[in-house]
Amino acid sequence: MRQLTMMKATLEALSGEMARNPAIFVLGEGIGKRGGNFNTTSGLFDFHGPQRLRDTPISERGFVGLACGAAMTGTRPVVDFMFADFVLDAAGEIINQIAKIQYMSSGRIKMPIVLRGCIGIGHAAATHHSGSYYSLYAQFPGLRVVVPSMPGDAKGLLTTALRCDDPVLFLEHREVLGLKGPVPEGDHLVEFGKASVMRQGSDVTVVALALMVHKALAACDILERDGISVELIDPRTIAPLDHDTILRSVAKTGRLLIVDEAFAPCGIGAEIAALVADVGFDELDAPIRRLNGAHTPTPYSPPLETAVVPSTEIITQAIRDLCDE
Amino acid sequence: MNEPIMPTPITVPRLGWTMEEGTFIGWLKNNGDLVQAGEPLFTLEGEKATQDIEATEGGILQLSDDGPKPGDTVKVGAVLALLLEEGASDARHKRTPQSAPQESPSTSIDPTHPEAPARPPVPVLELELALDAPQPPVATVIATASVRISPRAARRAIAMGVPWQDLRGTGRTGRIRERDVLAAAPKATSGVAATPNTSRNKPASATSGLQPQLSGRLIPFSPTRRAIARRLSEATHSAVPVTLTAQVDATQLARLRVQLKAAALGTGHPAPTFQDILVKLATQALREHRLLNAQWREEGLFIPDPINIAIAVDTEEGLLVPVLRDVAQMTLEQIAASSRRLIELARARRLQPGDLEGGTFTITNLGGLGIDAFTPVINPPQCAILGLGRVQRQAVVTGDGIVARERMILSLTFDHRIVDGAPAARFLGTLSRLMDIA
Repeated sequence: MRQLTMMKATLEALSGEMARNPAIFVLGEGIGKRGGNFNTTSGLFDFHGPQRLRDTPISERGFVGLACGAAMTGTRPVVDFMFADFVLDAAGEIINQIAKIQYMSSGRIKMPIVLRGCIGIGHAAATHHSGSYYSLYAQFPGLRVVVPSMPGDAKGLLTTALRCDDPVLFLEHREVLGLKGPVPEGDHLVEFGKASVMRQGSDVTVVALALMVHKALAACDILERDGISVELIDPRTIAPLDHDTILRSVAKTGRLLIVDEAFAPCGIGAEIAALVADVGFDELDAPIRRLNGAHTPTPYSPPLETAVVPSTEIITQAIRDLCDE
Repeated sequence: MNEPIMPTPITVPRLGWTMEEGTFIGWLKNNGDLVQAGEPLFTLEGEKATQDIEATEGGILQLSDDGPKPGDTVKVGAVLALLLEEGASDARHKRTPQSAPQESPSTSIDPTHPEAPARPPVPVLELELALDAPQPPVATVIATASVRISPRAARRAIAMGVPWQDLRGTGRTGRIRERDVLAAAPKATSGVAATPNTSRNKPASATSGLQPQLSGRLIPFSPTRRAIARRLSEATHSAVPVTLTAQVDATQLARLRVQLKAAALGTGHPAPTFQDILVKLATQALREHRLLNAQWREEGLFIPDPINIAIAVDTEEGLLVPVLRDVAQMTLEQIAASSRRLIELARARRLQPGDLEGGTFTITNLGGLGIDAFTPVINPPQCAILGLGRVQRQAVVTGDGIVARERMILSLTFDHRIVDGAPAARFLGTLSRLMDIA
């Protein structure tokens, strides 16, 4: 299969769906002629023009409210936030209106919005451009939260998002945008709520998201040489979360480590740990462990920035420690 | 800023290479006593010896209410109590070693230091059941056992019918893990692990009939008993033991003993015993038959320079085998004195670990208990063990007449890997000849 970067893979999904469905349009800063800060709309302006690629001023709450109203009228807005940190500026519109309107209208009004933006720590982007907020949005009913790690998955998940009638937060880790991977040609859909088992293993289950999937894969390789067999699961979407795949894996291995770059308190790792402690308690042969990024605003200083993110070495050691429990 | 003064934990030392746990006998100091480094602090029973343990640091002894009680099994490294620096307020140390903060199972690795996952010190003290005093029925023992086991291992143990209360966990904190249960499961049942109920539908097998739900009480093994069992199992599993018995004439020995008794009168020293004389004679025989003093080692046959005779001593706690060193250099009187000292120490449980090490040949004596012949078990890594039977006056045909003679049976068990039957027989022949001319 051909290898594409995640950037190219999602552009292919957006381009294909825009061609297929004229109701789709994109809103955001610099997504018109410029083609998006991260090339998310590169070349689309030439095809679809300013009607469907609408540059906005720096006013997140304004254009998200606009998108909400547009979606109520039957269009399919894609809001491109560049950095997901600034989705927060529109939190009221998203949480109070976008997430609730289908319920409030007894399902008569659909809310087919895709809210996309980059997450994650890297490149000394400092604390206003490094956040990972997926756990926050996963807490609210009515929102779907997608966190892809692989280009092929990203294409399939964005296509599903663009055909979905629910609001979707599509959060792309900036440090994996340039990573290449196999991407199917043509129509490619990945269902929400279906985890991907990246590695089959028997000794320990590791659940990881986004960039941490790649670091955990490297850890798997190191540990395999020492005879430790890791089962690596990428949930791909955290709302809905694939309970079955995680529970099945823990039933096999008896051990669970959740690796998450985002903050530990009240995060997705805590959610998964609670799930397994509840439903999978009798399967556990060791305590559930979490490995998270440091609970601190992200430092600008490159060495400090490196220090707050779980590294392959730390993940490897955490898995070893868990196997010794 | 004043650094808080850290208390020094008092831990269980390792008294021998293989010691994993011991029995706490008691404190030699009281709570609140000022202890100097080097002073005896408590008494600990290891596998074969009981020792007074000295304080390695000075300080004020702080015992806790839930610290070990006399008779408790304590693991090597376990914290028994604390030594506080003189003048330190003990209010800060009210917490007992056992209640020290434990790593909560759901604690995440410290997110503020991802490069150095936090590792709180592991509380090692795991007091097992209080084993003394009235023994509750087995079922109650199980219910109150504070053995830690993972949910998965517990489920597996129940499904397989493995009594996990006796297992030793291999988890980092001593937790019993699934693999420990699987390792302990009888081979026959591991196949039906997933379907534990099937056995109910089968007719009771011969073995299940032997293990009915008996009522009774469980007496835990002492470290001594476990050590004996392990060494003897090793001996029978690795060595190839063969026992030869020979009836020998002890008349001359009996005469010698009468003379020695007479000589000892008024000296204040007891006369050498039959066993002492045989230790001396066996040593002479071993000098001619070095293979019986040899040891099987993986890298080859090891022939020790000295002849160190271990003597089996029956004590209340079980069999102990202290060692008489370099017996070839000792007179009979020296053998008798050393032997008497070791036997007294053994019975008083005051042997030091060094007293029990380095034996090259063992002598065991059941004659005094009315046994004629038996099959002694080799004390590894030694090659052979000589069993002394009862000395008895018997009618013996000599020439055309019948005379009364003192007779006894020697039982020699040897490791056939090291020495063959004929050389072992010749050793007994030599010993018999030496007895005649003693």
